[in-house]
Amino acid sequence: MDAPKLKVLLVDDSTTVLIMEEVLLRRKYDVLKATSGAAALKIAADQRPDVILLDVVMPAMDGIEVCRLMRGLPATRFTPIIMVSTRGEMATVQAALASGATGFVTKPIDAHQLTSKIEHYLGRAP
Amino acid sequence: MTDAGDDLSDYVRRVRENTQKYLRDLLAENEKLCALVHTLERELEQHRKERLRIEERLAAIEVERRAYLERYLDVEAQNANVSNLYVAMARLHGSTSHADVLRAVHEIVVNLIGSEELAVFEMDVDRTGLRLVSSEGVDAASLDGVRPGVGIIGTCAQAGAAYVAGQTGPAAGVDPVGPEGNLTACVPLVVEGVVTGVVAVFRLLRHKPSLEPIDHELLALLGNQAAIALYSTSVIERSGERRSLHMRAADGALPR
Repeated sequence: MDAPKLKVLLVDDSTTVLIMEEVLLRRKYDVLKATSGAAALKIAADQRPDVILLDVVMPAMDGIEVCRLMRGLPATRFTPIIMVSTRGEMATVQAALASGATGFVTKPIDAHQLTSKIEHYLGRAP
Repeated sequence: MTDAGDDLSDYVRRVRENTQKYLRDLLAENEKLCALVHTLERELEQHRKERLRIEERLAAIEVERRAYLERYLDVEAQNANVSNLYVAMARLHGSTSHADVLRAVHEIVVNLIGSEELAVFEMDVDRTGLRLVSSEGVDAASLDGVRPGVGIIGTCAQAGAAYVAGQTGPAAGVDPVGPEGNLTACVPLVVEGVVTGVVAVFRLLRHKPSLEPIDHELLALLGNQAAIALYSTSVIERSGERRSLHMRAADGALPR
């Protein structure tokens, strides 16, 4: 019997990015999706994902704030959180890491880089 | 004296016999050892040959492994490219709302191509001007009212051919000045051979130095599929408005 798939939570206000990430990851992972920070926090607390991909620029609550709040939740205190953004400049990367993010990926998403990072943070790097 | 002489000669004979036997044994042993050395040398040679064969096989396997790895990476890249095109297509044709299709065009340019500066134009009914219908990260006022044949965007619309900075094409000779200064690519929206608008992509994201092959495919896909999606959603919305007008008229809310 196959081992149950690990869960990945995708958080982005762009449907295009959510579909893209889902297409790339659904073969290996159970995919959960949220289009806002508030929805992401609820899903994270309920579903306890194994890894989270979190967009930085979102309306209402940005990814930096969501990441900070997730680090306060028992369900996601130690969950790898990979921030995803079009803003690849150092200040954004530093802000993301300071908020508790584990890693950072720039958009447009490089499929190989994304899957390698997820595997790496899940301790399944080859 | 005779007894002593007999003893000595007997002793000498025995020593001689023993020495001869020892010599024979030594020669026999030497012969065996020579044969063994010969056998070992033969085996060693065989092992050398076997080792060489295995090393050659390993080298061949390594070459094969590298070829498979390259092929795997190639397939993975192709897979990612196909995913990009699939996602773009799904987004463009996933709604009957004109605004949603425009949003999809923006998301494709921002998230899949990698530019936060873009503009979408639609051709006027009389085909004398290009109307800016949506934009992001650019000065909209400076881009509105582009005329076909004027500037890069206008030339692109008139010729129905794409422009990519630094490449040949109908607009290659036109200097990108003013609001077109940062233009990276410009794609005409074409439905059944008729240009219905233009998507202009300006500065790429800072960490993206240039357009990649998949970006050209995405731009080509926008030129065809975004055009069809924008055109059909316009038609759907217009027919919806007409139907709503007819229904209101039928309900007596409007004079017939």
